[in-house]
Amino acid sequence: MIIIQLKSKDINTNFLNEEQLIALCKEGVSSGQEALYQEYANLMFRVCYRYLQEETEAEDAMIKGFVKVFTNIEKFDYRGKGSLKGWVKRIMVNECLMELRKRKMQTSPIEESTQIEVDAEIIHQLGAEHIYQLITQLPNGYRTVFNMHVVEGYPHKEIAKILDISENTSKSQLSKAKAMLRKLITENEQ
Amino acid sequence: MEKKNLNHIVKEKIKEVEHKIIPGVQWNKENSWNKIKDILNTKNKQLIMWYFATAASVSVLVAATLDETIPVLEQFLPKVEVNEVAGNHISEEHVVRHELQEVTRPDLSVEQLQSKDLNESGTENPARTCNFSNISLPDEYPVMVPKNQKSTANNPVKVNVHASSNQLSGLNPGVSFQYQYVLKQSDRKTHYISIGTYTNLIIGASSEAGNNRFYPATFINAAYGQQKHQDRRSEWEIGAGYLLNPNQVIYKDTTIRFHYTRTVLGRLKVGPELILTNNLTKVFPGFTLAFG
Repeated sequence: MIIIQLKSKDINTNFLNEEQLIALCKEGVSSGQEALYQEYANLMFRVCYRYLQEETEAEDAMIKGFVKVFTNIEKFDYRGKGSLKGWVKRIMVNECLMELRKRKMQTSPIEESTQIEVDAEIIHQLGAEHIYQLITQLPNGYRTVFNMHVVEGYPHKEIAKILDISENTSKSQLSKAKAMLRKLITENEQ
Repeated sequence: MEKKNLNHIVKEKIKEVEHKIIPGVQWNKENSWNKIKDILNTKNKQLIMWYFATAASVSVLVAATLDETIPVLEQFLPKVEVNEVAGNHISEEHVVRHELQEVTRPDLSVEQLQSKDLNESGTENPARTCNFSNISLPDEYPVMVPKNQKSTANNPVKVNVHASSNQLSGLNPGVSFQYQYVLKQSDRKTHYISIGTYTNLIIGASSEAGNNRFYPATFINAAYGQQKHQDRRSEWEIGAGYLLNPNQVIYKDTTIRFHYTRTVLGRLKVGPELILTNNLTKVFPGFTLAFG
């Protein structure tokens, strides 16, 4: 009954909660799909841009990702607030990784792996947007591992499996990424 | 000086701006939505087209198969064992013997034989039927192929134009070439194996997301088939193909296509196909319509 009501063309999707939006998308209702897209488009474009660095490629990956979201949403099991966002984000990250694989992402191992810490004051002085831009300036290999581990929270074991590299390579790429980011932040500070 | 872990700080900062538009980027949110909508609509159309096309081809196949099997089935239908003449039950053997006696009587002319079907009052007797089930006839008569009639296998290189469809690709045109090698040939049938290429022109989205373009999916194909010289409708072929150029728009990694075609009308062939892609982990059923 709820679905029949939701299918109505005059429905205002602004007042729908996540669960209702998902129900609409599962029924293939266009207004529901559009509402879900409007809710997450900016966030997902940012995710793709953070990985791919290139505007058209980021758009391409995001579009493919959303098509996958809408064609596979029947399989999605809602488990409370945040579960949809996490699921959509995972699909986007996978799309970006597939794109990067096509580019044949280069990785170069380094000898040591150290936990680099940065002065909090310096970081706080930089705006969030600035940090985001600095991440997109990292080279492909560093950026991918950095994004996956630091932002998305993947463990090194999983990163190694997904990117088909060794765990040590993943750790070393991350160290290099952090070192470079620190350098970029310092340069910006000066 | 207070030090904080970089991971934590970066994560917080990224979260702060995650719903904001990236400054300086030309990306248009509405354009992207229109492209997504177009792709979804195309997918729906492809699915509907695939459904109807498959239903139509299955119907044609079933009709063609029935056309051939009905005469065979008729042989197994129960025969009438009891005949009735003017309310009296008489045996089949009796009717046959009686008919034979009448026919072999030298003193009766054709007119007299015909008049036997009239009774004494001049009205026609009830119709009588009989079955000559005891008389055996050969199942097959040798078919003579005229000397000037060319067997279809005489020309070893075949070219087919086709349209194929599955859930992934919608309806796509294509062309196939095959070289046939005759294994066995009789007056009635030719058994052959063949090797060749099978190319589909697939309409797919390009890297610019949404702009359609054609790209070829070429399979190297091996098949076994049977041709009948008198009735092309019972010709069939079964085979498998390996995709030579994967990882384009639709088919990924190792991809194999299995097919079965059957001639249904003249040179028109219809049949189901099965495509296994993504290293044979995903299966997509479809159909092929070929002419050649």
